[in-house]
Amino acid sequence: MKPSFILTSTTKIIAVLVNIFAVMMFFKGHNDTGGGFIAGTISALSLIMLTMVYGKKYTKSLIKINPITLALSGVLLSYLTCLIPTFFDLPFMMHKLSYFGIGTPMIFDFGVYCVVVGTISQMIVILEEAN
Amino acid sequence: MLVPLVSLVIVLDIASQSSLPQTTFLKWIPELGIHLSFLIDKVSLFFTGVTCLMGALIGLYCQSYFKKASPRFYIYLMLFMTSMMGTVVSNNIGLLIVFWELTAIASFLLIGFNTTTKEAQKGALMTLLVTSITGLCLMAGLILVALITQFTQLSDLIEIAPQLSSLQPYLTPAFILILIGILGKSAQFPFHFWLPKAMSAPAPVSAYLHSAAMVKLGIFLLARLYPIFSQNSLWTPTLLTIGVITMVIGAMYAVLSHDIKELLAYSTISQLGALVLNFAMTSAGDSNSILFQILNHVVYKGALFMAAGIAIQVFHTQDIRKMSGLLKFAPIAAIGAIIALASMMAIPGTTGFISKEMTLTSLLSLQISYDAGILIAAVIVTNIALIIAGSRLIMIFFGPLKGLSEEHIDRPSFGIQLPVILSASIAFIFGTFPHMQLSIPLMISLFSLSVGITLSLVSYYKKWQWGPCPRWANMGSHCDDVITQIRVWSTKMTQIVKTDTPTQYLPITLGFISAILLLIMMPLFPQIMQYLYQDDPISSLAITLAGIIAAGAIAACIVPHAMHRLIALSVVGIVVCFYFIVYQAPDLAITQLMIEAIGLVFMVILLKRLPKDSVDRPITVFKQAGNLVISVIMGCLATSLIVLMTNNQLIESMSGYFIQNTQALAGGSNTVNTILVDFRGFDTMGEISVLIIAALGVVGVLWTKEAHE
Repeated sequence: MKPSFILTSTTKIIAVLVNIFAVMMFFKGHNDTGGGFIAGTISALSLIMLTMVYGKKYTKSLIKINPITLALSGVLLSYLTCLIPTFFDLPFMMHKLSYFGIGTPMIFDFGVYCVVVGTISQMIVILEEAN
Repeated sequence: MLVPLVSLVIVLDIASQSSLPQTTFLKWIPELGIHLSFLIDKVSLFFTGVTCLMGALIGLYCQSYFKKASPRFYIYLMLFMTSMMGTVVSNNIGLLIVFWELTAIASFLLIGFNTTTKEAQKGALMTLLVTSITGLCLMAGLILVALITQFTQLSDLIEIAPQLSSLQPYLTPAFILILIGILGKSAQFPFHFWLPKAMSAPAPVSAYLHSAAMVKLGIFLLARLYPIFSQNSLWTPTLLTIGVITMVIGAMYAVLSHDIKELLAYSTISQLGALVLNFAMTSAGDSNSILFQILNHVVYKGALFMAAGIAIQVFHTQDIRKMSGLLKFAPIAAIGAIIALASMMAIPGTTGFISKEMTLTSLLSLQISYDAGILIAAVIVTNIALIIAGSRLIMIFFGPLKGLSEEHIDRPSFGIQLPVILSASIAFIFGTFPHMQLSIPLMISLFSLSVGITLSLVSYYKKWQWGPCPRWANMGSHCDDVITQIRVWSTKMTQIVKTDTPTQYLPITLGFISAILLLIMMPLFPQIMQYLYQDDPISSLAITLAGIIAAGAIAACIVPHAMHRLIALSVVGIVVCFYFIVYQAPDLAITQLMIEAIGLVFMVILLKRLPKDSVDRPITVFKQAGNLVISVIMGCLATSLIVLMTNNQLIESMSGYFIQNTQALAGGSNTVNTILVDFRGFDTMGEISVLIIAALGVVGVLWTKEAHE
């Protein structure tokens, strides 16, 4: 069954808006409602929408790299961020903040974001593949 | 091969310069008393030296052994060498265990290197099982020692060893556990069966792991712990018994086996038994002779395993009855192997002879109440058996070719033969020290030598006619049986608990859980009732939401179609989000909403995939009633658990601390997020790792499913 015209033409716009919302959620996470995990789920939801409307090929071309690679690099990024303080004789995971709330917590959170997006989009791609 | 050579030079350099013992210290996990601490003394220096020496020779051998270069093999080999060296130099109990287990893993990878053959899989699995189970015993034993003595540094333990005599009764369980670990690693009775099984490994692996390195770790640990446990009343009798049993049965099996590598493996077991026996007898200052014996065994057994690898490559079989005339094709390796065999048979002029003389001398001077006669008889029997086994091996170098034409043989290269003779020459050079004097040990040796040669000549003319080893005596097959039985029983067990439809197994599992919980919660019911009837003002909004949730849940139970049920369930989920908003938890609400949406999409896709009749399968009324009872009980139990938890604050809530310190310590004003990335960031790290594992699991399950289709 072919998706309806309204769906195919609006999904892309909605996806862009959703991702802008996700970015906003990500950046205000430190001081207000939001954060890496929430932003990740929101982004993943947009990817699910795109997959269901345009098929998995489109999604794959959109995120360029293998979703599982994205997730693994997210974990790696978070771990490495936690390791940084140990090079300055500080305890493991001691976070450092600079101006405007940008600092190691944000990098750590970005790792979480990558993991969530990667995992969920991997699942949707595989489920769609099996259909 | 350069790496081990360079490290050998470094080891020799340390040996010639430094004053021993030396220790280094670096904090790692101070809370558990685990530090990166290394101890360099005579024992560890000797073992690192031996490891490097054999590592270099094996590296040279591998260059020619493998037709194709395989980087994977060298990675495993280096991993093994590193962990081996780590074990012998580590000064901390925790570090020792880590490296000890690493050697087990590396040896698993090395033995199973030919991943496609069944024997390699089996041998690697058995090695891993035996060494890791006994390794756990070792860990328990070492932790006991640490708990009793309050020391985790081996150097400290050795220092205070003389004062430990009052603690010896308490240390006995620790000693037994450690001994199990040692016996497992060094393939001593009753764990001797894994070594022949591990012979499915490529020849260089056998030459390295099973002559020089891995099996010597147990001996190393005996040497290391000697000062601590040698006063224990169990030390001498247990080591004596185990050593003698292992020595004799190893030699016996060596005579009985026709497989060249198995024969060598059994003779290794026998030699290791002799080493354990030596530890039971020597007085503390006399460890030089033991180290000498270890060196002797390492060099000649390494040479023999390497020669065996050459023979197998030439003849394409492991049966020594089908091998002959190797001298013509590989003269250098043959001479090396014959020297090594002479050392194994303890013929005068080799290190093997000296080493056996040492054993006999200390046996004769034994001033204890054990019957030394039996022990000497055991040594003689072992020696005779090893001479017979050795002379069988010598036969493969002489005589005409059997069943192979000369053109078809690929002649071993010079590079593969060189390490054999290098290794064997060490045994020869050290062996020619003048040691001859007419003494009782010499007489005993000459006696066993003549008997051994006569017996092997007799059996040579009888063409080695004897049956295979009886099944009951073969411990390896018993272990195989146990492993197979475990697999059979776990399959049966899984069949009972698991079925393909959740409607069948969920009632069983949930019913079991609710029964247990009911038993625990029964006495608390009056209390729960009391909490339930408290007069708390509840807003009308909350009541409305609760009503919607309940309606959704009930609807999910009674609507007929699966898709409708799903929608009813998602109503429940989304209204719960409103609850979070009512109680001012926006982060939770958003997360819940997102997860609800994603979950719904996944479920819809899955429902589309399932066959129609499996989703809406009718259930009998009786079963439905049973399910209803179980669900009601589970619901009541969950509710009462929540009521109990919210009213009974056993420990002070952490939330106050977090809210107060969010700005000061984490520099953010969203408490939830600072908890996630900062205060409890460690948990988040764990969670994202779990997420990855789950994703990989999904990939694995669905891909194999497609492969089946």
